[in-house]
Amino acid sequence: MIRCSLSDAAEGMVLAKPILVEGRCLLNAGMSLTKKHLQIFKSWGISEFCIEGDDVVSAEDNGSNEPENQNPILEPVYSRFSKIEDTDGLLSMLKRLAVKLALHEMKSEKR
Amino acid sequence: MKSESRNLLEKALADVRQLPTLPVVYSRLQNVLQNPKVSAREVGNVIEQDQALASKLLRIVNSAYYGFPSKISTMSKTVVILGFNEVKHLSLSICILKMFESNQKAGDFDHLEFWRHSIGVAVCAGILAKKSGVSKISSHEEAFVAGLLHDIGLIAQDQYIHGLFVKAVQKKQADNMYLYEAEKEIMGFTHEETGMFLTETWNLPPQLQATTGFHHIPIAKKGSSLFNLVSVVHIADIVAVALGFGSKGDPFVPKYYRECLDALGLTVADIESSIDEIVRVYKEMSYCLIDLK
Repeated sequence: MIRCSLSDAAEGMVLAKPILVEGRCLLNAGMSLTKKHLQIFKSWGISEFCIEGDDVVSAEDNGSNEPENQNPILEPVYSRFSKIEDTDGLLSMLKRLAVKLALHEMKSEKR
Repeated sequence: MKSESRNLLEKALADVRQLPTLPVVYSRLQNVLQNPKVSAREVGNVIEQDQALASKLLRIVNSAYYGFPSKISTMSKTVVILGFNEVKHLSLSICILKMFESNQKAGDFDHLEFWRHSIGVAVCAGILAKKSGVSKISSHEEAFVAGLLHDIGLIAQDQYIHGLFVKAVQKKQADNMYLYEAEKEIMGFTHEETGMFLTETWNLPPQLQATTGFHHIPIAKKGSSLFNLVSVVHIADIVAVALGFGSKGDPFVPKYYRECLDALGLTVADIESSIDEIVRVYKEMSYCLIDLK
């Protein structure tokens, strides 16, 4: 199960939990999202919900069969860090998390 | 005596007939909040004079970030829940965001992406300020606004000295350099100086003048009482660029001064343990503050 914000949502994603508004069910779990659903969520102020899928992107299952350093989606991520040197581990940690986030987003888009 | 870059900045802005002014509703809000006996209803009445401001505050107070079990539908209740300080800071943020809200694009510089970056820095600064503790930063709300406005000079340059700014953006791309380096070469001043000039013009507090003016060279404020606030915005900017929260037209993670992390009493592990919350709140606040296109 993945927590998904409305801005990241796309048609075809499947709800993992029902969406409740003031105690009433707006849309049941298992429903595949349509453009109309997303417009309704916006009008109700629903900004986040749970969709089906794995939340963890592991090194082995990064949404691509390509090695990470050949994955074109990661080029802008590596480029961001090209002008600075790591002095205390902060930038290495941020680079690792930035790669994880980029892969996660790529996986969400593929769904 | 004025510095050379300040003279160049004032000369560049001399042709601008009217720099933006803060909306009347914010001045009224500041006035009523100066009265120690003011009620939440009176503050709510002032905010309700600006429907766009009121609706954004309602959206924020009803967001999952605050997590209240029932829907908040009145402005006086919103004021009670958020508190005067947070209402003041959020209102300033919303007013300034609205002043520069457009989908304009100048080469790499996209206004929507710019505000996403600014919201990312604001959220990160607020969360790290909270983690750092009240002895280091006076309030996390102040850190949030400082983060939101830190690059205001960029959007002002794009709006008011567009030709020069586009040249700087092109130079940055051609020579693969930081945008502030290209600004200095092309215009003779940077967005930090433009931002500080604007915050001075708007008579915003010295804290916000310092964070707009020194977030890339925080070390210049070392020894000052403002160093911790400038440091939190400096670190937040690095985190936001590194994680790809929007874009300020400069893809490179800025130069990092580790003294800033030490000043805040934070470790790399502290930052890492905050990232999940930062990502979640960033998405939430982007939804609340920027209208989905």
